[in-house]
Amino acid sequence: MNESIRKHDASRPLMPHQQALIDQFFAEPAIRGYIVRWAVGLGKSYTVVHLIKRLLATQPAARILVLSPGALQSQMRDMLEQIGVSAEAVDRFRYRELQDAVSPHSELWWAGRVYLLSTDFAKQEDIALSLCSVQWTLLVVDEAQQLRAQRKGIVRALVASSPKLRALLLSSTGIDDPSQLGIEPWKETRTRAVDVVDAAGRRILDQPRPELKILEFHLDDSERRLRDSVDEIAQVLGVNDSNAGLPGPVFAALAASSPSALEAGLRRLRNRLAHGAYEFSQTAGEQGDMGDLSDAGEHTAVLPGDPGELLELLNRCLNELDALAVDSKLVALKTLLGQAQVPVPTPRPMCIVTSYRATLLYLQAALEELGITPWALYGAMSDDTRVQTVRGFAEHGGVLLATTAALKGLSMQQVDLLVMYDLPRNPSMVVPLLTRFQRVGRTDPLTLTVLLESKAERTVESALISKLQAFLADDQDSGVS
Amino acid sequence: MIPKMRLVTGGLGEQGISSELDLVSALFHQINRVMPENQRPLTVPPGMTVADALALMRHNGYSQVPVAMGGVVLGVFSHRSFAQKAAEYTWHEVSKQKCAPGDLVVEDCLEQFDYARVSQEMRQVFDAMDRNNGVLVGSPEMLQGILTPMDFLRYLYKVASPFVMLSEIELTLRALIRLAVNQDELEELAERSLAQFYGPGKVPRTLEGITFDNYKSIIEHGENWPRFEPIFGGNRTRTAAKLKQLSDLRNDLFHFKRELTVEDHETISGLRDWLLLRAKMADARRDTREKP
Repeated sequence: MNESIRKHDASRPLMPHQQALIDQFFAEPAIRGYIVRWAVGLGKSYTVVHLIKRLLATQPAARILVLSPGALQSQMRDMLEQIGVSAEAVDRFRYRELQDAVSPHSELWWAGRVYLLSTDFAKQEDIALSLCSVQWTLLVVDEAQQLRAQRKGIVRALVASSPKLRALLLSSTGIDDPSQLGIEPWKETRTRAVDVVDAAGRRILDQPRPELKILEFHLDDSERRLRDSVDEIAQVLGVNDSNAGLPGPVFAALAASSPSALEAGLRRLRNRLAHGAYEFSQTAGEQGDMGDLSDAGEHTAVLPGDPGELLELLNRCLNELDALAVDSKLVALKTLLGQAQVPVPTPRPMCIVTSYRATLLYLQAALEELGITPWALYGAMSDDTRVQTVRGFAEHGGVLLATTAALKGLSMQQVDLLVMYDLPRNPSMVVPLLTRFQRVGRTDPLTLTVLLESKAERTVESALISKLQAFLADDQDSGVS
Repeated sequence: MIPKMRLVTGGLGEQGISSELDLVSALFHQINRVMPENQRPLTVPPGMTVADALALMRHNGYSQVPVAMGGVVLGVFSHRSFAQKAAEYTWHEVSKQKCAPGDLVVEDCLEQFDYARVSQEMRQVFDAMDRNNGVLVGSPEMLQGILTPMDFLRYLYKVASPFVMLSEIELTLRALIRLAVNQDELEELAERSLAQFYGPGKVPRTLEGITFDNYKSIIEHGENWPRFEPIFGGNRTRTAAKLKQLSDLRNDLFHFKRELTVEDHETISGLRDWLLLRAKMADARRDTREKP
């Protein structure tokens, strides 16, 4: 079997710390809740799916509820299905169908089943009431550090309405005292990468260390002029990042990503203005790092400035963009691909990460021009296509183009070459992104290449690079070497 | 009368029910999809005064509201049911009961709506919708929502508008290709870029005979691009990325792979506007050339 498939196979043996949690759970039935506080990459979800399988084997009538951010549902379902456990993702439409199918002799939430709901859907009043009308055996809360306000309320209500319910709260950063949720007694299982050994007794920190390369590129005169025009637009729109989500910084980031990302943003804003809508809201694709799969709602800001002046600037910028003959950043990437000898007879799995969907599609077209057919992973994909893409890449290797947000929850330890085409706008996004790649199961060293524009001042970029270097040098609290 | 559709559960088991529902959902425009995702049915108690109920309806922008007691729906209070009651209300009754129309309780002004199920096709409730201006979804004991003609209108617009825009896009793309090359050139360019798909000499000779993806292949082919650059502007990679985005959205839509998001709608609309602009510019250039 292909090595990369083996790494993704959900039937691979559990590591000692993973097996220990499962054994502990079944050996201590009086413990109502566990905080599973493991560093990113140590296999919390992987352990939980095995625990669920064992629970259903020992208690076929167990009723299991998994609450997670919406974006992670399909991954959890896929992992469960890989080990032969069927799970049902329930959204509003599916919930109505379940309601419709209820007969006088049946319940809406069946015993012996695993239900996957987004935490934000579960907390809605009618759904919460319905969930609390049956007895649950196990509640799993993924990304439990996000439990706040009403999200906490649904967990509290479930714990109160199902006296025999046991809970697993998964988090890499820790959560508040679970007794506030009514979960007592509880235990915390905390695991750091430095403590973890694999099934053969080897420390996972003995994995190959990653290497950071910075690929600097210079903008030409026409690109600089375009940047100046974008800066003018940003000035009109408001450049203060903290100022109620004004779109100025968004356009600067789009321009830094790719001409396609900038064009998509400019056209959308121009269309809105042309139709009399003097407001701006970032689409999921423009939210960059947090976009695509984020559960955050859309933020709308009323546009400042004179719409006529703005329209003129947008048109001028679009014309300059149209005349742009060179993309120095893309040229740098193509040079890198040439050096990495992609494609090669035995492809070393490579992943190129961007913050924006428009950039991803642009890179896809550019790679196809080079004769490379990449895999593409972004938010607006059907669950099936997404799962097929992840599996296809794991099985066949090659080049994967992905948005930062679409990688959330995925294990990419088979990737040897990681290219950060865009640096995340938010430095705190760097480590979560890298832990997708630098995690348990890695056999070959990761080479990380960052594309960086050559310029005099780059405060933000320097902070990001420092984060990267610190992470790659030594991170004791994540699943990395 | 709405036909009662019951799911056959005997012998299917829970998995069977789920599969059957999935299948039905994939094939038809079900009421489940017509109902807004965020709709939460608002009900009022039978003892609420008409004045309060009307104020509540005005506040929420509703013209009708189910009346329920103990979780069971008794009927619907609506502008129409109130108007009918008020019209029947004589001066004699007002004097006798010492009560103005606004003091009536909604229980006195009920009308009965038909019930539909989420798994029904939307067309099955057209008559009921026409008759009552609304349909209740679920059952009196388990109200799931209320459907109005506006819900239908919004749903149909959402479903239909991308198809309309994509047909405009496809026709514009054909027109732009024809502006860029004549028939002989088209055949040469198509042979160059599509022979790998159809086989040498087997490439269709007309744009009507090939697919949207084929248009994309013809335009973005490295040797063909110089012919299209003046028409599409920008550069090959960016144009290819836009056509790829359109092609993906078209595939998702035409093959019902997923529901398009608001952002997808905006993307299609933006790309349609881009192509229309390029068509207008090409037309203007041609007119200028053709002027004596």
